[in-house]
Amino acid sequence: MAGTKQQNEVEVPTTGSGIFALVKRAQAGDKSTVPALKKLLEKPEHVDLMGGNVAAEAQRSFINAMAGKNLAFKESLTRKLELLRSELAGLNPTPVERLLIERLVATWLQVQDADIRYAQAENLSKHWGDYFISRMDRANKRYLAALKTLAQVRRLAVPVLQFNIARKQLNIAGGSVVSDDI
Amino acid sequence: MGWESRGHGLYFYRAKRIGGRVVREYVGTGQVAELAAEIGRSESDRKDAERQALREAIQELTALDAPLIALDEAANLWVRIALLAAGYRQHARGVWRKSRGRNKATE
Repeated sequence: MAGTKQQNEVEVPTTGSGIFALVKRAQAGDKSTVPALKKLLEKPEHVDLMGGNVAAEAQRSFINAMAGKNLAFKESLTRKLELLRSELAGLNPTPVERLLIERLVATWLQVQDADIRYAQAENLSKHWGDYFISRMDRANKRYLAALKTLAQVRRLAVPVLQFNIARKQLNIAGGSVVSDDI
Repeated sequence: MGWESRGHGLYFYRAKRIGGRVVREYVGTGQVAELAAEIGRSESDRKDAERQALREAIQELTALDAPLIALDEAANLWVRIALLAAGYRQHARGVWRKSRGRNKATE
């Protein structure tokens, strides 16, 4: 009970600069930051504060650039992204997983955009060709890095974080009963 | 590339790069030189237009990619938060390893 109460009283930064400062302290090895970090991760609104809107903006600008005025293409692309999201999300994604999935979707869009531009370009000079190829390379690298990071977070962090969230939910549901045997 | 005046005549030269060195090549004088100068001008205009178009395309695509770069930074920050909260520390070359010391707060 005392442990739960202590965790409830943890102060969580609500601004971008506050979150940055907390991460900086954590990276320097300050272990007192861990409860606040965990609390940050539990609430989707914290993750949205730094990432959610940017993800939507990135996807929207790629969709608009690729589809232009073609509403049918826009609609099918949006549907394809929804399928991609649900395929990647699984049953119960954490807020951070959701953000990483949104990034993956945005990087997938960038790969498609770069490939289409290169494929549709005609009579490319060497400079244009070099630029398009380097953009395709960067997009592919970013996409693969996003995939790798999602897998890494799922392998290393998610089991620990979901365990903590599940334990907290059980504490709340069971009143004063604290079980560590989950 | 250009005209040179010597005595009473105008002589047209064009610059060429040979093995990294810029070399002046004599083209001629009179109508032949004027025609060569005109061709050179249109070729130079075409290259200028192409460079300008490439600059504009790069600007447009940089603006298109900018939100994704911001998203990358935000996502990487949350990955750091998640791994630090799970008791990992980043070592050299970006490798994340479980902290050696058992930390009550991470358990």
